[in-house]
Amino acid sequence: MDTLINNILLAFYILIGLFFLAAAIESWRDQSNPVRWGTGLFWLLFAILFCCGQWLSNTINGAIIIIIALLSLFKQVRVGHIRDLDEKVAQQTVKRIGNWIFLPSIFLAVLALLIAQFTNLGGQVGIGVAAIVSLICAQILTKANVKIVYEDTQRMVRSVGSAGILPQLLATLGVVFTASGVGQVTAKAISGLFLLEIIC
Amino acid sequence: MIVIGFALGLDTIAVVIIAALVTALVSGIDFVSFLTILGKGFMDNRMVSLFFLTLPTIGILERHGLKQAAVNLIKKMKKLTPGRIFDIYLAIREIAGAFGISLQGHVQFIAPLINPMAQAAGKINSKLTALEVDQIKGRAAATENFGNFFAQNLFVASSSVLLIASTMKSLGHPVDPNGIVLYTFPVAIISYILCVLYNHVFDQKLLNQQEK
Repeated sequence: MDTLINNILLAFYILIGLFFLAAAIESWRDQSNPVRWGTGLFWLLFAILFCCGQWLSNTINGAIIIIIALLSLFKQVRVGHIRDLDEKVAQQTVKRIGNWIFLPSIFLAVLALLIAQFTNLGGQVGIGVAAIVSLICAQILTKANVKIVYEDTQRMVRSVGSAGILPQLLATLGVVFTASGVGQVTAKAISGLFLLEIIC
Repeated sequence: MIVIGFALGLDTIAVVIIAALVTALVSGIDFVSFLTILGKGFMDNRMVSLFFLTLPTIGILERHGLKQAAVNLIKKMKKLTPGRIFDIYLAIREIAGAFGISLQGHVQFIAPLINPMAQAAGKINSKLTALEVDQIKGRAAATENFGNFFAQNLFVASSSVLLIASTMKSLGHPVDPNGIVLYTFPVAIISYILCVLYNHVFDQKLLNQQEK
């Protein structure tokens, strides 16, 4: 069971890596961003960590994180320009499907809950499976094509930006603190601090 | 170290990694071992970033009018305010908790549902300022925390109750898990009342700001 869970999670991480790759490509293409190369590299490195990190040595993974930190230190990472949403599309879709637009959100919540509660797969797999099912549901409802899925994925990842990856880095900081012998309690307190204010 | 980094106006990610580096070097870990610990720590904590998987869905729904639909829905229920939405969510959250269903819902509930609804309720009468949007967002996330913190011990087989019971036993003060649940009820009820008041004050504040 544990192997199965780990393999599913690994597939999810690779998928997240592909999201980051999309963010990298679109950051590079964003001519209005003066630090577009740095920002693109920033996302590309995270894409590498999530897609290939499993098979790289942890020393190399650590070195990649150091490069990311250097990009951040020298202010080479900026959100850049994110294309505005078309109000008309929103109005038309709402007119067509009305409150069914909430269905994917409800799917996401309920399915994640059911999987966590009634299977042995655990909460993490639950969130991932629910996310994918609700995405398919949203696609069918809104008739969004692959291009829109790509556009919205890179848009959301870029606008969440480095704040989205921060919780994981704080948890990593906690690991380093523990390895260095700083009290475990401090480490936990710090990693929990920012955790979920970011995603809303 | 972290405080100094922020005081200098450094980027957050740089501050975090520098803090890790300095801590490791000071405690005598060499640089290469530090890289290994850093890489392993990052890989072991990937599950923290699983919420990225929900972003495409939220993005598509947003593009196709999730917020507009929330506004329409809330408009039909004229008396709904951000605070009242939080009240309702917290009640559902605590009751579900008592039956052992842990919603743990920042990713699943707050971001895709409760926050957009509260935002919609907030701007029925007038537009929200950027600060007010952030305040509502913060309150939405906080509501989840209140529910989790004060009501998680309502269910006897929850891991927190079992943790308390086993810890107290190992410290030589055996307690009954059922007793923990019993004593959690007044805490959950009092905290719910306080949250309702807190939300009410927040609604009033929003209303006053909007009248100005």
